[in-house]
Amino acid sequence: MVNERPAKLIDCRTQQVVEAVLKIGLSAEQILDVESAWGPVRLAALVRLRNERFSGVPLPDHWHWIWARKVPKLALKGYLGVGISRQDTMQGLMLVARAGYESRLPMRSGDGLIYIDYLESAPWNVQAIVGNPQYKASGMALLRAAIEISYADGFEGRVGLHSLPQACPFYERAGFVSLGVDANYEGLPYYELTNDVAALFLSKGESK
Amino acid sequence: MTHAKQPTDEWMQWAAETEGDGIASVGGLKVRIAALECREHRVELAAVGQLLDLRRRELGLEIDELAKRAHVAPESLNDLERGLVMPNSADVIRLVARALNLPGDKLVEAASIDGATDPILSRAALRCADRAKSPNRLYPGEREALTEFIGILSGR
Repeated sequence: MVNERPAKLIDCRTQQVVEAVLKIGLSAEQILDVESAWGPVRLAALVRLRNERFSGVPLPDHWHWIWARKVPKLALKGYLGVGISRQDTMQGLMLVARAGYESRLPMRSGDGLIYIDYLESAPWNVQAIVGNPQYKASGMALLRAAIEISYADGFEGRVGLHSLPQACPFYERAGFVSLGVDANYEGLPYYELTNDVAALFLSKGESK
Repeated sequence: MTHAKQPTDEWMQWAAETEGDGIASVGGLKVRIAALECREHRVELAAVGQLLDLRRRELGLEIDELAKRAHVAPESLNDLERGLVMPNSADVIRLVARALNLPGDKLVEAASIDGATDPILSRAALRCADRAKSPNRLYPGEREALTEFIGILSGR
Protein backbone atom coordinates (compact mmCIF):
# COMPACT_ATOMS: atom_id res chain seq x y z
CA MET A 1 0.00 0.00 0.00
CA VAL A 2 1.36 3.42 -0.96
CA ASN A 3 1.18 6.18 1.65
CA GLU A 4 1.20 9.77 0.42
CA ARG A 5 2.16 12.96 2.17
CA PRO A 6 2.80 16.54 1.08
CA ALA A 7 6.29 17.49 -0.06
CA LYS A 8 8.00 20.31 -1.96
CA LEU A 9 10.28 20.89 -4.97
CA ILE A 10 11.79 23.98 -6.58
CA ASP A 11 10.52 24.86 -10.06
CA CYS A 12 13.66 25.84 -12.03
CA ARG A 13 11.72 28.12 -14.37
CA THR A 14 10.36 30.35 -11.60
CA GLN A 15 12.81 29.46 -8.79
CA GLN A 16 9.72 29.12 -6.61
CA VAL A 17 8.84 26.39 -4.14
CA VAL A 18 6.02 24.23 -5.51
CA GLU A 19 3.89 21.47 -4.01
CA ALA A 20 4.76 17.84 -4.58
CA VAL A 21 3.75 14.46 -3.14
CA LEU A 22 5.97 11.96 -1.39
CA LYS A 23 4.86 8.40 -2.17
CA ILE A 24 6.07 5.80 0.32
CA GLY A 25 5.74 2.07 -0.28
CA LEU A 26 6.10 1.78 -4.07
CA SER A 27 6.16 -1.75 -5.48
CA ALA A 28 8.80 -3.20 -7.82
CA GLU A 29 6.30 -2.90 -10.68
CA GLN A 30 5.68 0.78 -9.93
CA ILE A 31 9.42 1.45 -9.80
CA LEU A 32 9.85 -0.39 -13.11
CA ASP A 33 7.06 1.70 -14.67
CA VAL A 34 8.84 4.90 -13.67
CA GLU A 35 12.21 3.75 -14.97
CA SER A 36 10.55 2.62 -18.23
CA ALA A 37 9.38 6.20 -18.71
CA TRP A 38 12.80 7.63 -17.87
CA GLY A 39 14.84 5.29 -20.08
CA PRO A 40 13.87 6.75 -23.49
CA VAL A 41 14.53 10.31 -22.25
CA ARG A 42 18.03 9.36 -21.12
CA LEU A 43 18.68 7.49 -24.38
CA ALA A 44 17.53 10.40 -26.53
CA ALA A 45 19.79 12.75 -24.59
CA LEU A 46 22.71 10.34 -24.98
CA VAL A 47 22.20 10.21 -28.75
CA ARG A 48 21.90 14.00 -28.95
CA LEU A 49 25.02 14.62 -26.90
CA ARG A 50 27.03 12.13 -28.91
CA ASN A 51 25.80 13.65 -32.16
CA GLU A 52 26.80 17.07 -30.95
CA ARG A 53 30.16 15.60 -29.88
CA PHE A 54 29.66 17.40 -26.62
CA SER A 55 32.71 16.63 -24.61
CA GLY A 56 32.51 19.17 -21.81
CA VAL A 57 30.26 17.19 -19.44
CA PRO A 58 30.82 13.54 -18.52
CA LEU A 59 27.81 11.31 -19.18
CA PRO A 60 26.24 9.77 -16.07
CA ASP A 61 27.76 6.39 -15.15
CA HIS A 62 24.56 4.42 -15.02
CA TRP A 63 23.15 5.07 -18.45
CA HIS A 64 24.13 1.73 -19.85
CA TRP A 65 22.38 -0.15 -17.10
CA ILE A 66 19.20 -1.62 -18.49
CA TRP A 67 16.51 -1.69 -15.83
CA ALA A 68 13.70 -3.64 -17.40
CA ARG A 69 15.68 -6.87 -17.64
CA LYS A 70 16.85 -6.68 -14.10
CA VAL A 71 14.09 -5.37 -11.86
CA PRO A 72 11.98 -8.55 -11.96
CA LYS A 73 14.89 -10.40 -10.36
CA LEU A 74 14.88 -8.12 -7.34
CA ALA A 75 13.81 -9.38 -3.95
CA LEU A 76 12.20 -6.28 -2.50
CA LYS A 77 11.00 -7.64 0.83
CA GLY A 78 12.65 -5.55 3.54
CA TYR A 79 13.08 -2.69 1.07
CA LEU A 80 10.95 0.43 0.81
CA GLY A 81 10.31 2.23 -2.48
CA VAL A 82 9.85 6.02 -2.18
CA GLY A 83 9.09 8.52 -4.95
CA ILE A 84 8.50 12.24 -5.17
CA SER A 85 5.82 13.24 -7.63
CA ARG A 86 4.69 16.54 -9.12
CA GLN A 87 1.55 16.79 -11.28
CA ASP A 88 1.27 12.98 -11.38
CA THR A 89 4.77 12.56 -12.80
CA MET A 90 7.55 11.02 -10.73
CA GLN A 91 10.43 13.45 -10.34
CA GLY A 92 12.74 11.31 -8.22
CA LEU A 93 12.89 7.72 -6.99
CA MET A 94 14.59 5.90 -4.10
CA LEU A 95 14.85 2.39 -2.71
CA VAL A 96 15.97 1.90 0.91
CA ALA A 97 16.90 -1.24 2.84
CA ARG A 98 15.58 -1.13 6.40
CA ALA A 99 17.50 -4.19 7.59
CA GLY A 100 20.78 -5.97 7.01
CA TYR A 101 23.22 -3.07 7.20
CA GLU A 102 25.27 -1.63 10.01
CA SER A 103 27.41 1.44 10.49
CA ARG A 104 31.10 1.20 9.55
CA LEU A 105 32.07 4.26 11.57
CA PRO A 106 34.43 3.24 14.39
CA MET A 107 32.40 5.02 17.05
CA ARG A 108 29.17 3.47 15.72
CA SER A 109 30.41 0.02 14.80
CA GLY A 110 27.54 -2.44 14.88
CA ASP A 111 24.76 0.17 15.06
CA GLY A 112 22.09 -0.31 12.42
CA LEU A 113 21.26 2.22 9.75
CA ILE A 114 19.08 2.74 6.71
CA TYR A 115 20.90 1.85 3.48
CA ILE A 116 19.96 3.65 0.25
CA ASP A 117 20.12 1.01 -2.46
CA TYR A 118 18.98 3.26 -5.31
CA LEU A 119 18.36 6.99 -5.75
CA GLU A 120 17.78 8.86 -9.01
CA SER A 121 16.31 12.13 -10.18
CA ALA A 122 14.11 12.03 -13.29
CA PRO A 123 16.30 12.68 -16.36
CA TRP A 124 14.53 15.94 -17.16
CA ASN A 125 15.71 17.23 -13.78
CA VAL A 126 19.41 16.50 -14.37
CA GLN A 127 21.59 19.27 -15.80
CA ALA A 128 23.97 16.79 -17.44
CA ILE A 129 21.10 15.26 -19.44
CA VAL A 130 18.97 18.26 -20.38
CA GLY A 131 20.07 21.85 -20.80
CA ASN A 132 17.17 23.22 -18.73
CA PRO A 133 16.16 21.02 -15.80
CA GLN A 134 12.52 21.30 -14.68
CA TYR A 135 12.71 20.78 -10.92
CA LYS A 136 15.47 20.99 -8.36
CA ALA A 137 16.00 19.42 -4.93
CA SER A 138 14.35 16.04 -5.66
CA GLY A 139 17.54 14.28 -4.52
CA MET A 140 17.67 16.28 -1.28
CA ALA A 141 13.94 15.70 -0.69
CA LEU A 142 14.46 11.95 -1.00
CA LEU A 143 17.50 12.08 1.32
CA ARG A 144 15.32 13.90 3.82
CA ALA A 145 12.75 11.10 3.56
CA ALA A 146 15.50 8.51 4.12
CA ILE A 147 16.58 10.28 7.31
CA GLU A 148 12.98 10.37 8.51
CA ILE A 149 12.64 6.62 7.84
CA SER A 150 15.88 6.09 9.78
CA TYR A 151 14.44 7.92 12.80
CA ALA A 152 11.16 6.01 12.53
CA ASP A 153 13.08 2.70 12.53
CA GLY A 154 15.13 3.64 15.60
CA PHE A 155 18.40 4.34 13.77
CA GLU A 156 18.61 7.99 14.91
CA GLY A 157 18.89 9.38 11.39
CA ARG A 158 21.88 7.28 10.29
CA VAL A 159 22.03 6.55 6.56
CA GLY A 160 24.56 4.68 4.43
CA LEU A 161 25.01 4.40 0.65
CA HIS A 162 27.45 3.61 -2.15
CA SER A 163 27.71 6.62 -4.40
CA LEU A 164 28.31 6.45 -8.13
CA PRO A 165 31.57 8.38 -8.66
CA GLN A 166 29.94 11.41 -10.31
CA ALA A 167 27.61 11.85 -7.33
CA CYS A 168 30.37 12.01 -4.68
CA PRO A 169 30.53 15.84 -4.60
CA PHE A 170 26.76 15.95 -3.99
CA TYR A 171 26.89 13.60 -1.00
CA GLU A 172 29.87 15.40 0.47
CA ARG A 173 28.02 18.74 0.20
CA ALA A 174 25.02 17.09 1.88
CA GLY A 175 27.21 16.20 4.88
CA PHE A 176 27.99 12.53 4.28
CA VAL A 177 31.31 11.16 5.56
CA SER A 178 33.42 9.24 3.05
CA LEU A 179 34.67 5.86 4.25
CA GLY A 180 36.66 5.10 1.12
CA VAL A 181 36.08 2.76 -1.81
CA ASP A 182 34.50 -0.62 -1.15
CA ALA A 183 35.97 -3.64 -2.94
CA ASN A 184 32.78 -5.62 -2.20
CA TYR A 185 30.79 -3.09 -4.20
CA GLU A 186 32.82 -2.91 -7.38
CA GLY A 187 35.05 -0.21 -5.90
CA LEU A 188 32.19 2.26 -5.35
CA PRO A 189 32.82 4.87 -2.63
CA TYR A 190 30.88 4.27 0.59
CA TYR A 191 29.36 7.15 2.57
CA GLU A 192 27.51 7.51 5.84
CA LEU A 193 25.47 10.25 7.46
CA THR A 194 25.99 10.39 11.22
CA ASN A 195 23.10 11.04 13.60
CA ASP A 196 24.49 14.48 14.50
CA VAL A 197 24.66 15.57 10.87
CA ALA A 198 21.26 14.00 10.18
CA ALA A 199 19.68 16.22 12.83
CA LEU A 200 21.44 19.23 11.32
CA PHE A 201 20.31 18.22 7.82
CA LEU A 202 16.65 18.31 8.83
CA SER A 203 16.88 21.70 10.48
CA LYS A 204 19.30 23.46 8.11
CA GLY A 205 18.14 26.60 6.39
CA GLU A 206 15.11 26.98 8.62
CA SER A 207 14.22 30.39 10.03
CA LYS A 208 14.81 30.74 13.78
CA MET B 1 7.59 8.90 11.06
CA THR B 2 7.69 11.13 14.15
CA HIS B 3 10.44 13.31 12.68
CA ALA B 4 8.53 13.66 9.42
CA LYS B 5 7.29 17.17 8.81
CA GLN B 6 7.00 19.38 5.79
CA PRO B 7 10.29 21.15 5.07
CA THR B 8 10.10 24.94 5.20
CA ASP B 9 10.59 27.01 2.07
CA GLU B 10 13.92 28.13 3.52
CA TRP B 11 14.97 24.48 3.84
CA MET B 12 13.98 23.92 0.21
CA GLN B 13 16.13 26.85 -0.97
CA TRP B 14 19.09 25.50 1.04
CA ALA B 15 18.43 22.04 -0.43
CA ALA B 16 18.39 23.39 -3.98
CA GLU B 17 21.67 25.29 -3.41
CA THR B 18 23.27 22.19 -1.89
CA GLU B 19 22.09 19.92 -4.69
CA GLY B 20 23.15 22.46 -7.35
CA ASP B 21 23.63 20.79 -10.73
CA GLY B 22 24.95 17.65 -9.04
CA ILE B 23 24.00 14.10 -9.93
CA ALA B 24 22.52 12.21 -6.95
CA SER B 25 22.86 8.60 -8.17
CA VAL B 26 23.75 5.74 -5.84
CA GLY B 27 25.01 2.34 -7.00
CA GLY B 28 24.10 -0.27 -4.37
CA LEU B 29 21.20 -1.72 -6.34
CA LYS B 30 23.29 -2.10 -9.47
CA VAL B 31 25.89 -4.12 -7.54
CA ARG B 32 23.22 -6.22 -5.83
CA ILE B 33 21.61 -7.12 -9.14
CA ALA B 34 25.00 -8.01 -10.60
CA ALA B 35 25.57 -10.32 -7.63
CA LEU B 36 22.18 -11.98 -8.16
CA GLU B 37 22.97 -12.48 -11.85
CA CYS B 38 26.45 -13.79 -11.12
CA ARG B 39 25.07 -16.12 -8.44
CA GLU B 40 28.43 -16.76 -6.84
CA HIS B 41 28.19 -19.51 -4.26
CA ARG B 42 30.77 -20.39 -1.66
CA VAL B 43 30.70 -23.59 0.40
CA GLU B 44 32.38 -21.87 3.37
CA LEU B 45 29.61 -19.27 3.44
CA ALA B 46 26.96 -22.01 3.24
CA ALA B 47 28.66 -23.79 6.16
CA VAL B 48 28.55 -20.63 8.28
CA GLY B 49 24.92 -20.12 7.29
CA GLN B 50 24.10 -23.65 8.40
CA LEU B 51 25.95 -23.14 11.66
CA LEU B 52 24.00 -19.99 12.40
CA ASP B 53 20.84 -21.99 11.73
CA LEU B 54 21.97 -24.74 14.13
CA ARG B 55 22.58 -22.12 16.79
CA ARG B 56 19.17 -20.59 16.10
CA ARG B 57 17.55 -23.97 16.63
CA GLU B 58 19.61 -24.58 19.76
CA LEU B 59 18.25 -21.34 21.22
CA GLY B 60 14.70 -22.22 20.17
CA LEU B 61 14.24 -19.20 17.88
CA GLU B 62 11.98 -19.14 14.84
CA ILE B 63 13.53 -17.74 11.63
CA ASP B 64 11.34 -14.63 11.60
CA GLU B 65 12.12 -13.96 15.24
CA LEU B 66 15.86 -14.16 14.63
CA ALA B 67 15.57 -11.94 11.56
CA LYS B 68 13.71 -9.36 13.63
CA ARG B 69 16.23 -9.48 16.50
CA ALA B 70 19.18 -9.21 14.13
CA HIS B 71 17.60 -6.49 11.93
CA VAL B 72 18.05 -8.53 8.76
CA ALA B 73 15.55 -9.65 6.12
CA PRO B 74 14.58 -13.37 6.41
CA GLU B 75 15.67 -13.77 2.77
CA SER B 76 19.21 -12.84 3.84
CA LEU B 77 19.26 -15.85 6.17
CA ASN B 78 18.21 -18.06 3.24
CA ASP B 79 20.95 -16.58 1.06
CA LEU B 80 23.54 -17.36 3.74
CA GLU B 81 22.45 -20.99 4.09
CA ARG B 82 22.59 -21.43 0.32
CA GLY B 83 26.05 -19.88 0.26
CA LEU B 84 24.94 -17.11 -2.13
CA VAL B 85 27.48 -14.28 -1.88
CA MET B 86 25.76 -10.88 -1.73
CA PRO B 87 27.46 -7.50 -1.32
CA ASN B 88 26.36 -7.24 2.32
CA SER B 89 26.93 -10.88 3.35
CA ALA B 90 29.58 -9.86 5.91
CA ASP B 91 27.22 -7.32 7.50
CA VAL B 92 24.45 -9.94 7.71
CA ILE B 93 26.78 -12.49 9.34
CA ARG B 94 27.89 -9.96 11.96
CA LEU B 95 24.32 -8.83 12.70
CA VAL B 96 23.00 -12.38 13.04
CA ALA B 97 26.03 -13.51 15.05
CA ARG B 98 25.47 -10.67 17.52
CA ALA B 99 21.84 -11.73 17.97
CA LEU B 100 23.02 -15.30 18.61
CA ASN B 101 25.86 -14.25 20.92
CA LEU B 102 28.59 -15.52 18.58
CA PRO B 103 31.81 -13.76 17.41
CA GLY B 104 30.83 -12.16 14.10
CA ASP B 105 34.30 -11.25 12.82
CA LYS B 106 35.55 -14.82 13.22
CA LEU B 107 32.50 -16.16 11.40
CA VAL B 108 33.19 -13.73 8.54
CA GLU B 109 36.73 -15.16 8.37
CA ALA B 110 35.35 -18.70 8.44
CA ALA B 111 33.04 -17.76 5.52
CA SER B 112 36.04 -16.44 3.53
CA ILE B 113 34.37 -13.24 2.44
CA ASP B 114 34.98 -9.53 2.80
CA GLY B 115 38.69 -10.03 2.17
CA ALA B 116 39.07 -12.02 5.42
CA THR B 117 39.93 -15.69 5.52
CA ASP B 118 40.94 -18.28 8.08
CA PRO B 119 41.40 -21.70 6.44
CA ILE B 120 41.45 -23.53 9.79
CA LEU B 121 38.19 -21.96 10.90
CA SER B 122 36.68 -22.60 7.45
CA ARG B 123 37.58 -26.30 7.63
CA ALA B 124 36.11 -26.56 11.14
CA ALA B 125 32.91 -24.87 9.92
CA LEU B 126 32.63 -27.27 6.98
CA ARG B 127 33.15 -30.29 9.28
CA CYS B 128 30.50 -29.07 11.67
CA ALA B 129 27.98 -28.30 8.91
CA ASP B 130 28.62 -31.70 7.36
CA ARG B 131 27.47 -33.38 10.56
CA ALA B 132 24.21 -31.36 10.66
CA LYS B 133 21.19 -33.29 9.44
CA SER B 134 17.66 -32.32 10.44
CA PRO B 135 16.18 -28.85 9.90
CA ASN B 136 14.26 -29.12 13.17
CA ARG B 137 15.46 -29.84 16.70
CA LEU B 138 19.11 -30.64 17.29
CA TYR B 139 20.10 -34.26 17.54
CA PRO B 140 22.91 -35.26 19.94
CA GLY B 141 25.46 -35.48 17.09
CA GLU B 142 24.51 -31.99 15.90
CA ARG B 143 24.65 -30.55 19.39
CA GLU B 144 28.10 -32.06 19.91
CA ALA B 145 29.33 -30.72 16.56
CA LEU B 146 28.00 -27.24 17.29
CA THR B 147 29.47 -27.16 20.80
CA GLU B 148 32.85 -28.22 19.43
CA PHE B 149 32.84 -25.49 16.75
CA ILE B 150 31.78 -22.77 19.17
CA GLY B 151 34.62 -23.91 21.40
CA ILE B 152 37.04 -23.40 18.50
CA LEU B 153 35.60 -19.93 17.81
CA SER B 154 35.92 -18.93 21.46
CA GLY B 155 39.36 -20.34 21.96
CA ARG B 156 41.17 -18.46 19.18
